[in-house]
Amino acid sequence: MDAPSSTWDIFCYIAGAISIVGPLAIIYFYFRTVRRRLKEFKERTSR
Amino acid sequence: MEAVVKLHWLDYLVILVYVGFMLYIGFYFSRKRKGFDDYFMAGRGLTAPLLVGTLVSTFYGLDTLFGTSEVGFFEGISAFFAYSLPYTALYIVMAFLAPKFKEKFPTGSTMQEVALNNFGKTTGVFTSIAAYLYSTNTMEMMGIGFVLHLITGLPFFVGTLIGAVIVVLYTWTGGLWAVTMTDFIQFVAMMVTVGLAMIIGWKAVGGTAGVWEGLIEWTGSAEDAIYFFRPGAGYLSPWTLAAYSVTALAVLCEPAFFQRMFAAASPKEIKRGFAMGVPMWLSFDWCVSFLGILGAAAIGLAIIPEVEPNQALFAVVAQYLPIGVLGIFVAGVMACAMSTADSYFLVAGGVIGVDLYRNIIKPDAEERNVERVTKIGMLVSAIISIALALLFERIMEVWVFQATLIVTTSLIPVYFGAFSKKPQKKAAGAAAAGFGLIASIIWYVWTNFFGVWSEEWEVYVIKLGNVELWQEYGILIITPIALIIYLIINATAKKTVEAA
Repeated sequence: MDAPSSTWDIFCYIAGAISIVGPLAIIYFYFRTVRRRLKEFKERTSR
Repeated sequence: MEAVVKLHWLDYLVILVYVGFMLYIGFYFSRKRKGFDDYFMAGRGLTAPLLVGTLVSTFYGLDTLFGTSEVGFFEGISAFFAYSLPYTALYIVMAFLAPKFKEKFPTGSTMQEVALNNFGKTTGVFTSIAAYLYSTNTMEMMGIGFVLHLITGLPFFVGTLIGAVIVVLYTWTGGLWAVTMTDFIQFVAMMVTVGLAMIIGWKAVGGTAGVWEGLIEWTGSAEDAIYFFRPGAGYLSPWTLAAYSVTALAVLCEPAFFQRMFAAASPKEIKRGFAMGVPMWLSFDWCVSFLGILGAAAIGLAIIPEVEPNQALFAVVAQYLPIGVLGIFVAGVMACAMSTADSYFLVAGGVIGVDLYRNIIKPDAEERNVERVTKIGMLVSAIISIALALLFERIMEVWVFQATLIVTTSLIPVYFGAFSKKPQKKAAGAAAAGFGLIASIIWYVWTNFFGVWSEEWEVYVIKLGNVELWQEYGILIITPIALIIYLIINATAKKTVEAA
């Protein structure tokens, strides 16, 4: 019985990397766009 | 009172800081928000980054984290290919449909409103009942109680109660803004820690070669171990796989998704949110599936002791993550539960406050009264969730029941109502929704009380002659019948409802 190919390793590391890098990349968008939205929210609620 | 999993004090500190921060966010937004639209719809200003955080973390709770890893533990890569991929397909479909809902109903708040506006009050009530039952957080409440019991040694019911109080407190005070912001932090915590565990754990056992060696030890032979790497292998019949796949239709009528769609700043933001969410969902599913396989291999290699399948993920992660990061992982596990629970508490509150009180009982209600009723609905949902968490020991079928309920009741009126070009008949929506709701409840009561419990398959089975019907097949039987009822009545009835 042949052992499973080591290709599974590559997919596992890619999935792990996406799980780590993906949210961090989205944090970048978060700081860029959501801060703007929060500013608008604060302006609206302070009126 | 002794903890089952002992953590370093630094790990406990990380968890305390996390919980404190969640409560602070709730308090912060309670002071800043004005009006019910800010409370329930976050001022309709959610952008793509926040949307992806709240969409991913809401739909992926402990059932995915522990449930999918448990399936991986038993079934191997089928956990990903048979269970997760149908959901991914529906997320992609939703990326195209969700912006259309926002365009068609720019002032909408809930999915049930779509049914109400297109088919009238009876349909609105049926879909609201289904949405409320769907939004009970039994699984998440049990999960929080379980995790707190593991790390502190607190009795299960105390852990459940503490978890519920924390979640209800910040949801009650801060509304959708607090839920979305905490969801975003929880999304990052759960994704990053699972990704770290995947890479560190997989490498530590020697990659696929090491896992293969462990699986041979665990199963006893290479012939048995190889099925872990065959998609579609395992013990499930094609019909059961079909039933599980059809539960993915719940993605199309997921009340929390609809609330976020309507709370989005624009249709474009929704599309971007789903587009960014799909790779996150896929990678998370892959990681938890393979961490389950890793757990089985780790037992074979004697790296971890023989543990319950749903504890294997925890055990293997605790083995490899360093001090501090382990605390973040535990916070990530709690995040999985809390991010799902807070969203559904708010959805459940909305069913009572918006769908039933504002839209049906008292259309001219003042905003503060709608908010008050929404909060009462949320509190009642929390009490029901805790009660069910303490009552039931085995709740894996709860998800299938809830998915059956929401799909059979809401899918047909919501989509025919939203996308049909001709006006639809009032009676058709009410009949399909009513049938879906009542038939689902009867089916589950019938199979629970009159079915035979199969120790081998761990399901209730109804025998009709030579045919064996599993409890899980309900969604496959009821949905097509509800569709047929809808089509017949829509073709024959006369009265239509003017869209509001």
